[in-house]
Amino acid sequence: MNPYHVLGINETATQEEIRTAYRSLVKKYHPDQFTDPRQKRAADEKLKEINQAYDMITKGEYKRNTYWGGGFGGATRQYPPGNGSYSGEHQDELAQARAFLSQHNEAAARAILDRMQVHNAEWHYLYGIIYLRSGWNDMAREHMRRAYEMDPGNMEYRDAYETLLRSRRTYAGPAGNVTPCDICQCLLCTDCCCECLGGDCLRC
Amino acid sequence: MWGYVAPLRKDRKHPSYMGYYCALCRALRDEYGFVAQQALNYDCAFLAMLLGGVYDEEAATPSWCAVRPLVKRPVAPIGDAARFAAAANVLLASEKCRDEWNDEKSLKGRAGYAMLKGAERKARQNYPEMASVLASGLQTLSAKEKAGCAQMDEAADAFAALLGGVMALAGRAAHEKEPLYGIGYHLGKWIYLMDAWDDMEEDMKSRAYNVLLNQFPAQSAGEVRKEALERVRWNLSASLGEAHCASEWLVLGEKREAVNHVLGGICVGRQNAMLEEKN
Repeated sequence: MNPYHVLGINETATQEEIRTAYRSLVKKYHPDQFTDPRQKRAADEKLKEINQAYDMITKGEYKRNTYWGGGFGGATRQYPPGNGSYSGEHQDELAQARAFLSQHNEAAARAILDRMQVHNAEWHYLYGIIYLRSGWNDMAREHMRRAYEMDPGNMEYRDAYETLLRSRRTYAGPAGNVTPCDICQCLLCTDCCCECLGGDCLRC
Repeated sequence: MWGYVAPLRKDRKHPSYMGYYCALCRALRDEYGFVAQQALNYDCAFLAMLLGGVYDEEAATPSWCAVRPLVKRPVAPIGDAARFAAAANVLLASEKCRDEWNDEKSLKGRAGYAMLKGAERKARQNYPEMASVLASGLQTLSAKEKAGCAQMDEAADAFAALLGGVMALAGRAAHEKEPLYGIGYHLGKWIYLMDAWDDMEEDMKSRAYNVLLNQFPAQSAGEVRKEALERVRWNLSASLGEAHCASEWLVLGEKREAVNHVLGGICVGRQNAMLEEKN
């Protein structure tokens, strides 16, 4: 099945266009508005197809962007460590953990960090990222703070900690004429938007 | 635990929100009877409205109300959204009574629980999965508290996962379930922390479990408030922000404005009022 064909949209359609198309088709084919049983059945089938198509296009959109594993909650995931490399004690393990985080494999990264005895700044920083992606904000903040304290000269840790403090603190809810970027005060959405526009406000 | 996702007296009452408050009241009375209707709360009205958006229900229509009979009030459709929220309302109210009875030996709790028994049984029959998610979630929460958990993320996680789990059940497909879980989780965490902050004096006096008293040990609740204010405020804001982010992934149509109004206006307002007041 070509989901775009079913929804009657281009493959280049925006989020909004996809949702609008979905909504209007669901309204059009809702079985409740048909009295004839044959028509009802046909509408039901069509609705199934429409839902399948929409699911195919948007499937796991939210889930792809969060990490629900490990008994945590979830939070948007666009907080990847950058390609910056780490060199120092336990370089191999920590570099591997960092690589896993770039691939959105939090479970594997966590497994490495949990095995390590030494908890240096980089260790705290990477664990902070895992907690952040899991929605455990207080733990994330504490780990980020430790990383910054243990290595105050490190710009990556400093920027991450300061951006984290700033963005979370200012959620005051949407007002009338506010843009989506203002509304979504998630640290992670900010980074995501930045990246979409070609920037990268979180170098990590 | 309930009554935080609710407007302050001075707050503007968004018509969609009030429409679903009324629809929920009706659904409670029609399905579960007069006693259940008394357990009506704004938190579940928000749930009804959110689901009304997800299910793309019709707009509210004016109707009469026995409690406020002077003028017709807009009532949202009493459909799947209101019915789901009504079952949740009953089950959560029943649990709250049972909790009060167990923890504080409160007669009011005992009486409430007994009176809601019939309604609870019916809600359980109508939504067996919801009842089981709730039961197992509460067990986990109780275990965490008995273990004396002293970290706010960990303590709140049990309640957050419970609310997320319940809300996810209302999703009809993966693209609805996942963000609903997210909203439930982060809003649940917000509620849990609000409750912990609010109850600090009481809990200190009665030596009841309170994650903030554990995480920030001090001689008095006042001292804890001083020390923890900025950090708790930050965490509360973060949770609301994440709940809002999750809601962005849902298709809500016209209800989006009302949902934003609750998360960004009502919840933020109540949070600020509570943090200012007890300081």
